[in-house]
Amino acid sequence: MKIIIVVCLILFPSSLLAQNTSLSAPNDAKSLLKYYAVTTDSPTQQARVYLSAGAAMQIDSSLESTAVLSSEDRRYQLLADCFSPSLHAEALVDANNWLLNNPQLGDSASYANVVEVRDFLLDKQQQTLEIKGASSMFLLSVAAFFLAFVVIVRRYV
Amino acid sequence: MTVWIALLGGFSVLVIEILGVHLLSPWFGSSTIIWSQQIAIILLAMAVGAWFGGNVARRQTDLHSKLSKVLAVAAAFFVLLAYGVDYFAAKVLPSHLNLDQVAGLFQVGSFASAIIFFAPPVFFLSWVTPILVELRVADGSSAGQAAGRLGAIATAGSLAGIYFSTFVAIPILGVRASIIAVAILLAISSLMLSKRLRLAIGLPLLGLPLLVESPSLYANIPPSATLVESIHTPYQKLRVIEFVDESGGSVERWLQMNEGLDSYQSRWRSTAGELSQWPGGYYDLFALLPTYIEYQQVDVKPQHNYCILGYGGGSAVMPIATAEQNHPYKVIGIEIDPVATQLAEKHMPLPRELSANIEVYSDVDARAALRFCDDGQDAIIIDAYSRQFEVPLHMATKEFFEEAYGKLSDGGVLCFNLGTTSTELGDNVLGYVTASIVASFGAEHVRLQHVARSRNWIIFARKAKLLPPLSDMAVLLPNGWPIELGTSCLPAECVEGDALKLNPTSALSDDKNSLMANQFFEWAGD
Repeated sequence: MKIIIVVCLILFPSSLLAQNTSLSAPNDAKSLLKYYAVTTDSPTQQARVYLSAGAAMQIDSSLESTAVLSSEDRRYQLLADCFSPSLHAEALVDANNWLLNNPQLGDSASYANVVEVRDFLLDKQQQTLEIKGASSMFLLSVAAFFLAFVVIVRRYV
Repeated sequence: MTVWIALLGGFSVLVIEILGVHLLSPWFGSSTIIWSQQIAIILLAMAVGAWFGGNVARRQTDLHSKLSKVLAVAAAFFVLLAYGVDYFAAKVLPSHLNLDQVAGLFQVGSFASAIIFFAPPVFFLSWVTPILVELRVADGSSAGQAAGRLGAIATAGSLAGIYFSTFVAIPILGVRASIIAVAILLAISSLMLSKRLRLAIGLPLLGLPLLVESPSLYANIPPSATLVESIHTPYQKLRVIEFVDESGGSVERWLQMNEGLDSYQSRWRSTAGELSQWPGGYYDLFALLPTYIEYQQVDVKPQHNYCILGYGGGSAVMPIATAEQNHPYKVIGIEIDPVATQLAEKHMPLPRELSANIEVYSDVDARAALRFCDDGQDAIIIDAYSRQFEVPLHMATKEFFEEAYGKLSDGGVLCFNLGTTSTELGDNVLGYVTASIVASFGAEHVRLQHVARSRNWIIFARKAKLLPPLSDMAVLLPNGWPIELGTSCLPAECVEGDALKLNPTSALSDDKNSLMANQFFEWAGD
């Protein structure tokens, strides 16, 4: 029997990833590994390629070599963090900071992408609140049940 | 009549205990923790009920009438639970949840459901024996003899309840219909005691709501999915769901167990009527096996023998068949639940030409089955989950991996699918399972490969030979394989070498195994 947890990342349209169309992006496993072996791209471009291949940990590894992260680098890091549900709260703060720090990119595809990511993370935050609400509702139901049960048993037994 | 009621009381309690978990499982799963909780609540309700029942038996004078009322109340609670659990859970649980979010919520939800719906009928049924003892004593029996005999009869009823639930209720009658049937038996007994048996004519009406589709069919169904078929088996609740992409003409089907959510037991994809070679997710990584098996072998093996423990619907076969191309291979599949395989054959069929290469054995535990497999297996795939996120404890110990090591040929590969929230080795599920594999294979023969866009890791371990270096994979892989397979071979997506030697955790053993607690707290705490 099997298990897999698909991390829902449908919010990264390829058009938003393809910022630099001068590169021939790897399109299969072999070409991705060849790309890794010989690439002379900047870490930012590598992050773009790895993002499209779902390589979240490789993105971080690639960007570690960058002394000063650009807004694009930070965007890719942000997108990589979305792969890991445990980083969603942190990623939401980063997304808001990114939007605050880059108002000059307001009309760009990158900005729209981060807005989309922020909305996705807000949905996740909302879901977390709903889960807490449901937990409280279950506990309240038990408390109400106990109260009713004790009253009925004392009255009729 | 006394014997019948004692028998029925014991029978009914065990029916609730076992079928109750099946009512909960579509909503909250049936993890070991949920089973433990269910048993604990039933025992607590029995203890409190017996205490109250004893007091009632001592105080009351018209015990026949009291017994009749107790059975009627228990019957009413049976009817309530048959329909109430589904509507309660459907009302309170949020929709579109992911497995990683819900372990804590499901724990609370199953606790609340069990307290509200299962404890009351058990509480009242536990009055039965003390009242019957008092009646027997009033008729002249000794208290000790009456308690002993009635206790024995009630236990015999409980035994019948276990086998009825497993072999009649779940596979034949259905869970809710069985609970209603027990409610009707309780109600008839109540009417017989009160000598108003003619009222029993109206009891079949209790089953009318069974004609309405249960909301549990759609419990935790992912957004945009539609239900194809759902079925309870003695092992679990299974369902096949379908995603249709009308624009691309593709259909994807998942075989799901219990609470479903965004996880699957098997996966199947077709585009324009053609079955995809790549089901996606971690299954695609099984295509690496022929490359790993043959790496640095002096002679190419005439046939590759695969043993899949946790075969499910056979999703692992397509990537293997694709990677083998025209090389002969044989797959032995072990799947404990035969209905999983049957459902997959019906809704997620593999190409007929592959069937000559596949033998599937069901209704047998995977570890026990491995002992009967031939020696010289070239790959053993372990894809076994006893419940949604629980690797069976006995299939993650160093003793088990030693047995698997002994079944492999030289250069043969063990391949373990692990769904976990862990992202690095430590005092966690990933750390413990890896340490147990390393204890049998040696750190230099083991590699963890992360599955792109998922929480799964595939742990490869090769017997007596090294796995191909990651730097060679670009040469070894053919063109056209999914890019995510390449992702899983990138260095930052893998753990091997010194990192495995630095793993701070110790191997799990058959005697000492913390995996269940680790798994629960990992998922619940995420």
